[in-house]
Amino acid sequence: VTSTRRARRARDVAFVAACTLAFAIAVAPLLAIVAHAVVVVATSPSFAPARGAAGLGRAMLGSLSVVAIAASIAIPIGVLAGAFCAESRRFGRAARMATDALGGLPPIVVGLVVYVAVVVPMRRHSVLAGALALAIIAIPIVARGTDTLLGLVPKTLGDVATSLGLPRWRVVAFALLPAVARGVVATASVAIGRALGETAPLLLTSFQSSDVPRGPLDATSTLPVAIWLQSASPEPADRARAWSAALVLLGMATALHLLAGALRRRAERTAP
Amino acid sequence: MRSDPPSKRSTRAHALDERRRAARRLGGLSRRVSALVAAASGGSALLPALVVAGALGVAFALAWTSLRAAPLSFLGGRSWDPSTGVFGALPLLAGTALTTTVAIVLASPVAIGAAFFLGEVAPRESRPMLDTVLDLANAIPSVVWGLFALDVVLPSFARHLFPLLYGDRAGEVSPGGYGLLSGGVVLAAMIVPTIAGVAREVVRAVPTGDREAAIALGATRWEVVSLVVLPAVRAGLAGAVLLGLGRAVGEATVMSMILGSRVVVPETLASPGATASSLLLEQLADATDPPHVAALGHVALALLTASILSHALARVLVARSTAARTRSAP
Repeated sequence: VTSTRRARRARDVAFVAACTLAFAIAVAPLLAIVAHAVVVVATSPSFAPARGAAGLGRAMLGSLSVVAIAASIAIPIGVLAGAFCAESRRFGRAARMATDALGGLPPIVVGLVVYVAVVVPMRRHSVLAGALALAIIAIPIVARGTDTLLGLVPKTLGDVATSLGLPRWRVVAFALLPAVARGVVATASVAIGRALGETAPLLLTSFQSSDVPRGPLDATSTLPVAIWLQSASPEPADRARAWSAALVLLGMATALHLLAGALRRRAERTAP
Repeated sequence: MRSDPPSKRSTRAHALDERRRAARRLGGLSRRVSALVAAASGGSALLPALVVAGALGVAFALAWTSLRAAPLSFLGGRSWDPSTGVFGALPLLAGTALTTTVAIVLASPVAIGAAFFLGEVAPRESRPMLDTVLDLANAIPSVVWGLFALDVVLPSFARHLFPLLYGDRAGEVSPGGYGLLSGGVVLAAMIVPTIAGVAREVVRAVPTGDREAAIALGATRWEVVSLVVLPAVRAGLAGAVLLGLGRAVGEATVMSMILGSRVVVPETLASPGATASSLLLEQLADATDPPHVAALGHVALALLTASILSHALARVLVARSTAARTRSAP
């Protein structure tokens, strides 16, 4: 009896140890990447801040403008599409399938479609093309998030609003969506974080430029593309620039995720 | 006043009428807004379908001449050479299959272990913090993974791992560490957080009551997992792995940075090569020759179809095993 008990305990300890080790392996690269980035940027002697900062500033401005346009397209469309998926009795399921299919498109294919449909006819890389590609990537994330959140709202809330005689869209817009507003904002910030880091579609759409974009039809450099272009260079100054850009990207992604996490936790705490 | 009741009545009737008309106007307005919102919402929901159809259409149109010419010899062709106009997909199929197989084999056990750690093992009060760490690992942009691989992973593979595997030939098999094996290992590290994040939700969707019943019978944590949780989550875990597979197949940025971009059938596991995604990223913007564009379109069409199907299947599997929670919610 003792030997079985010991064997059971041994198996349990082995399971716990294996899971803990697996988690450590899963997150080790995150720590290694952040540490490496900090060390490279901090110790690089050839990193001339003025020159580097100029390139970095241009790429940041480019990234922000592309992502801002993408977000202003993707968030309203994503929320509306998500509400439709959750609330339409007849077509909700079909719309959800289509959203999932869109979410399954590899980013490079999204880039190809925008390249063929926008960049080639206009004969130019542009902020607008990049924003369209990123919006296509972000829409399914926002839509699926909104859809899932609306599915978790207690049915009684919708019933009460409906019993007041409100039309359906007002029930959704003024009773159901406010109940999950924090969650929707969290989803949107995750989607923005994802869009900020995308490289492959931007290489085909907004590409790069040595100038600050003067309008939505100019090409622009962005942080991910700047990293990609400098990644193969053996020069230490380029490495330092690439890693500073990487640090900025990581910082923004972290900030957006922490915001999303905080919003989600508060939403869970105040949930009915 | 008394002498003029009809006019009074008519004023009152008039006021009532006015009010009714205003209400009707407002009702009409409300109906119009309703219709407008419904149209906007329906249109937004229609958009994903239109974009997917458009993507299929674009890929099909590009691929048309290649599809019509010889689909089978395209799939089996061993050579991809834009300068002579010979296009065979075998190098890409081999490169894609090798990198994703390495990635899935390495990543699945680690990711599922991490998911069980977050769902079953870690102390409850530290879970939100650990969740955030995993989410952050999932949010690392792929180009940063590529940069890290170039700086750290490839040099150390070239110095330590490949001499072990290939002895003196290491330098010619995988110059500088560039190659499919390195690509597969880096892909594995990238998709671990993706798979673990989905698997975590699947594990957590198992009703607490089932677990408590097993614990009340004296089960250890391993017994709870192996007897209660695992049977309930198998399909969901398969879905999570399939989502990771989709991300691995579609990853173009990192692969274009570390595979060594040589479009040949690899001689060894560690040789330089290319995947369907990395090839599209590298050659699409420079392709001007119609046969070259058609061949790239053919590759895109295959990639697109496979991704949509695998993603849809994965979503169904995951949704089925997380549905229990939403259904049992009050």
